[in-house]
Amino acid sequence: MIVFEGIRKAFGDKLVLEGVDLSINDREITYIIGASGTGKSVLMKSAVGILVPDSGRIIVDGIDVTGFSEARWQPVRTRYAMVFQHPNLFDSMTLRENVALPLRKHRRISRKLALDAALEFLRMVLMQDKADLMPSEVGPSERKRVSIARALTLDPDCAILDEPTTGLDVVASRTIDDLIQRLAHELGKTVVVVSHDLRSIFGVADRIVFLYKGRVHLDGQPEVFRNSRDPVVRQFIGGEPDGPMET
Amino acid sequence: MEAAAELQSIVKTLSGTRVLEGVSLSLARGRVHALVGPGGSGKTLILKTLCTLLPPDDGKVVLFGEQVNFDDQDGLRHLRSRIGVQFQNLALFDFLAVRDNVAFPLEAGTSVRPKVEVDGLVQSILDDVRLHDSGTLEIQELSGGMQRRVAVARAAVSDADLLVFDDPSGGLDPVTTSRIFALIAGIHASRGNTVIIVSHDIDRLARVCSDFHVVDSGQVIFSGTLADGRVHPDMRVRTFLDVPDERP
Amino acid sequence: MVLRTQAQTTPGHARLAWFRLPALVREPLLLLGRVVRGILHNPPPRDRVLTQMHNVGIRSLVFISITLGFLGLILVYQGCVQTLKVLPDLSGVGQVFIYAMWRSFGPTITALMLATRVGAGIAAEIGSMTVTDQIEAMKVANADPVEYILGPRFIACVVMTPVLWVVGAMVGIAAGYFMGHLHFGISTRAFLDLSSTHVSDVVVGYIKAQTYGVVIPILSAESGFRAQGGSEGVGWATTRAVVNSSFAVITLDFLISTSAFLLGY
Repeated sequence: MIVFEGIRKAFGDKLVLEGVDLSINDREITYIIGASGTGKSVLMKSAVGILVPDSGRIIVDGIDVTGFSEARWQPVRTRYAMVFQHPNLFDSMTLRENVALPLRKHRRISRKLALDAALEFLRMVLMQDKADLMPSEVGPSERKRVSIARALTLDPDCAILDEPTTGLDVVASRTIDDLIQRLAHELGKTVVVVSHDLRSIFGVADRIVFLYKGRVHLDGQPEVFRNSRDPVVRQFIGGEPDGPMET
Repeated sequence: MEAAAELQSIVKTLSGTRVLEGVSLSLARGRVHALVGPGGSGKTLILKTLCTLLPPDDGKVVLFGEQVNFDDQDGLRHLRSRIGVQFQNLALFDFLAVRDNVAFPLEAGTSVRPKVEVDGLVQSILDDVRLHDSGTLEIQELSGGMQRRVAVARAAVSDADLLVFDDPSGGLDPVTTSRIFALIAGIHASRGNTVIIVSHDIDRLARVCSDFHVVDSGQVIFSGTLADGRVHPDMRVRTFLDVPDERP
Repeated sequence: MVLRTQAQTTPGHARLAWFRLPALVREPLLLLGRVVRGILHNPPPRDRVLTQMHNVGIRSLVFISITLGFLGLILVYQGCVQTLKVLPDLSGVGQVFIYAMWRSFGPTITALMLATRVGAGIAAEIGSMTVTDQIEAMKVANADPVEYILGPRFIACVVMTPVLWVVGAMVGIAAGYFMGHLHFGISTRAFLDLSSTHVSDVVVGYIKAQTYGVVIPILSAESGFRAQGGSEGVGWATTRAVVNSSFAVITLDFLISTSAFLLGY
């Protein structure tokens, strides 16, 4: 369980998070949604200690990790898998070698075994056919799928996916959606997803958290959102260009 | 109907892999076209070929009625001045501020426009993408969504005959996505130019595009209306066009 | 996406097909032709040229001065120590040192330093623009990247390299003089004796500095335009720029020195 208490974060004079209170339950699929630039990624990065909030507390499984040093973050981070918005594969390795890298580094298994295992993870994201290409030889959506596969190699307790389906075609998006559901409901993992993909959100989320103006505006099951009469929520999930929402 | 741009049996091999295998595509003038298909199928390469940035190994590119000669730099320059492009990875100039990025197609090269006119055009397009007070910011200071809007603005600022958008709404929230598509539709309505959009958002495409083209494995496997595509015998065409809307 | 390199899409490519020089020489020559034509056709705005002159010149000044200063100290020290092994007279060290500083070490070491600092910078900048499609975006915006990006940098290198050579040589000579005068007691008059240094030596030095000033930005930019892939491609382009520029500097040093010698200068 990850608890955020009163998280505030400003960049320069721009206040992005103005006191976010939120707790993320184990073995649930939580979608964080909100307009571009509302600090969804900032919140997720602070959950894994990459960004330090200006104030507020982050509690992971009862341990207050706020202000942890880089060294103390390391063991916490191995339990997370974070996939960033922009895939960060190593350019000089093939896709398969990229996926095998964490296995070889942390599990210390042989190169051959790691590469075999990597192929299995690539299969989960339907990238097995391009395993031996270099990252620059495939499209951005394919790189993204590979980085998701890489993040899952170390069997994390919690996967944080920042816009996993952005730029993906319909078939690839549904593959990722299925993968998210399998992770949570079959393998018992906690999955947090930052996304704008309405189809994905209403298809797989157990719970949706809507950030607006630096705070949690609405938090609940998809039904709560479908039935909401809040004009901002209605505009957002309806994708209406005009309305009360300030962006 | 006359075609604004046409690709005839384009073949292209990159680092030993055949990426375009005889692409034929005709973009009717003055219409909004959608280019859809799986990731890695060659959509971006087709757009780059259309923009004269990727000389094909074989086949013909015909733009605005004339065949493109990839060895004639002056001819290419002239053609490119009639094209506005938003690149998939945005390709914003990181050494220029937002305003200068958007103004670049107007100020660069040999075109001579009075500064007042440039400022007016830039300001109005920045208003359209709701970035009116961000002109002086550096690209690095913007969020991903804002950067994408700058890229769309830069593509649309000049009065191009062919506008190319490679995933204009990738990573944007639903409201901003709708605004971007509304902006593209608005530009098309007022200027009547030819537009081609690559996107995976079939619902949005359905609202603004009249013609659909489906790409798979380096070939265009369908060109026609959405309604026709949804009953096409090829399963791949239906998969990439016929996706039910699950919005609440 | 992989794209054709700048040089391959050069218009002159087809016309000069008969011109069977190895690509290593031909591509940079074509690029040189394009940038010179671009500058003559459409001169870059003064403020952008001045910015680059600042980057290339002023910001390399301390770096070049320190390097040539230390070189001066070492050369005079070694020169004196070695001379003392054969004869007790150090009066000739200064004139030989000054001659060498203007004619050979000065321009060559300055250029090698510039290749690492300025050449790597140009290649990294153009390389990252290439791999992030900024070069293509520029082409579609109807600006010639060679003209727009390389133009100001090329002018800056052409103008500033000889300036840096003059400054570097003077700092080197000053440092050498301190070593010779204070440590070995060579008189000022003997050390600063210019009788061995002729105008032709300075001219040869200038020709070298000027040639390097043309070659470094061209070779570096050419590497940058060829970058492909991601950050690895940029790294590769940067390395290639430094290696090629340094190699070219040494080769040209040899060629110009030999030609000058054969011509009797």
